[in-house]
Amino acid sequence: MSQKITLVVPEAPAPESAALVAQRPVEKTGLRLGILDNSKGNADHLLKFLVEGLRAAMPIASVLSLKKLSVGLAAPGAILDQFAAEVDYVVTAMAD
Amino acid sequence: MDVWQGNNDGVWDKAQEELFAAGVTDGLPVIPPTRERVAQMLVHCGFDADEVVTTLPPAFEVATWRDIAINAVMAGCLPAYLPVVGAAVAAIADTEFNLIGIATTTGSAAPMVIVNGPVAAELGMNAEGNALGPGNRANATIGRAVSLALRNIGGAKPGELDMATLGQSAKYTCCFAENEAASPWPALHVERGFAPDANVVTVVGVSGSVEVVDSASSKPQDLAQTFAQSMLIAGNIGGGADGLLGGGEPLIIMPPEIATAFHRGGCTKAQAKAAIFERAVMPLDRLSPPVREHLVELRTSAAQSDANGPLRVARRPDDLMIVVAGGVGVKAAYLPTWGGTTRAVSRAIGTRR
Repeated sequence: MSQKITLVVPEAPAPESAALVAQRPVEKTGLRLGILDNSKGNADHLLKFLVEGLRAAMPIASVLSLKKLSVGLAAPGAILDQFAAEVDYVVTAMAD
Repeated sequence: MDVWQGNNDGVWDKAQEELFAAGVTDGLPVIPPTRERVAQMLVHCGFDADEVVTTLPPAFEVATWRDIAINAVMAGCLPAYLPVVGAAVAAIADTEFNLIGIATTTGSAAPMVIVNGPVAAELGMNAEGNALGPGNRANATIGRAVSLALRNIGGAKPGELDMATLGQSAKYTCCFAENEAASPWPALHVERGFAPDANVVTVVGVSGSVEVVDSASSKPQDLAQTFAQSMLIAGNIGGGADGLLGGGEPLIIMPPEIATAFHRGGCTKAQAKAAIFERAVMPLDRLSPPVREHLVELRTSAAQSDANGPLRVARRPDDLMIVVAGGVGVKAAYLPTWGGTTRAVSRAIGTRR
């Protein structure tokens, strides 16, 4: 006779739930791009190339480049507030 | 040895395969988290299953006692271990610990759990020989439960949010108790403001472990020199603009014989820390030119007064942490904390019964 046991899910949240993703409409004039240099070596060079690549691929209305001074800490609130107010998307997380 | 062979071996094997396939294990077999086992653990401790213990980065998911108990069951914990696991999970979620960095870094950081107070002996934890090694159920499974909770509740799964280049074995489990009975000094939790008879967990974000051996010295200044020079690792510069070696709270685990040698030489723990701190200095010319240039640039950006000053292992002597553990012998360990910024966090272990 086959036996059956019921296991409880160790994950939170349960797999059936999923977080909502905020809508980020982009104006037709172009993307307001944010760049966050996380201060890792060569992050500034890589991000510069990335901006050039994005400019070639899509309309970019503006670029806001900021830098945080600690690799391992989240960006300070002032930086996050400025990005929230002035850009549509932020590119960061250069790893090594 | 008689080997038990139950009728439900096939069910056990099937459960393991299901759990592996679901991606909720650490790669080792686990105890299947049945409703009955989880309920038994919660009832034993008297915790409300739905009570929120904390919100756990990096996914910032809510961790209830039920969630933590499920992972503790999987890790192989006895029900009595749950309060320690819960306190440790709450501690790693503290902002000061910077779990979002620890859990997602390409570095090798892992949470280490240190247990102080009577609860360590009550649970049969190992504070003596091989305290950091295998063989003790409480040490092994409490640390593993914290790691599983971080993975399953916090979402730090390798390749998804845990982006470690190499990782380290401490990411499976890393937990021990301080050998308070054999220490000549106040215990870690007492230094951090708790009563000597309090039950406390302290979590430390460690990036590795270096064996420190000095079997020739017996005077504090000589031992301090060995510890200090063992901490000067050029590849361990922290990510902050002040350019410390490591994360700023270096952890030294001393066996009782070494701690006693310091004590017999007239050193309090604070004096031992100071003796090590003042000898742990690395001039910038020890660094490769690109590393040196990058560090000076960072320090200059942060308007530091001495951008070319030497590297230290902490900002002040008191930031060094010394914990006494281990058995017979003089083998010690230096554990740099993660350079991406982290602070040790202590939490009282709560009980309901």
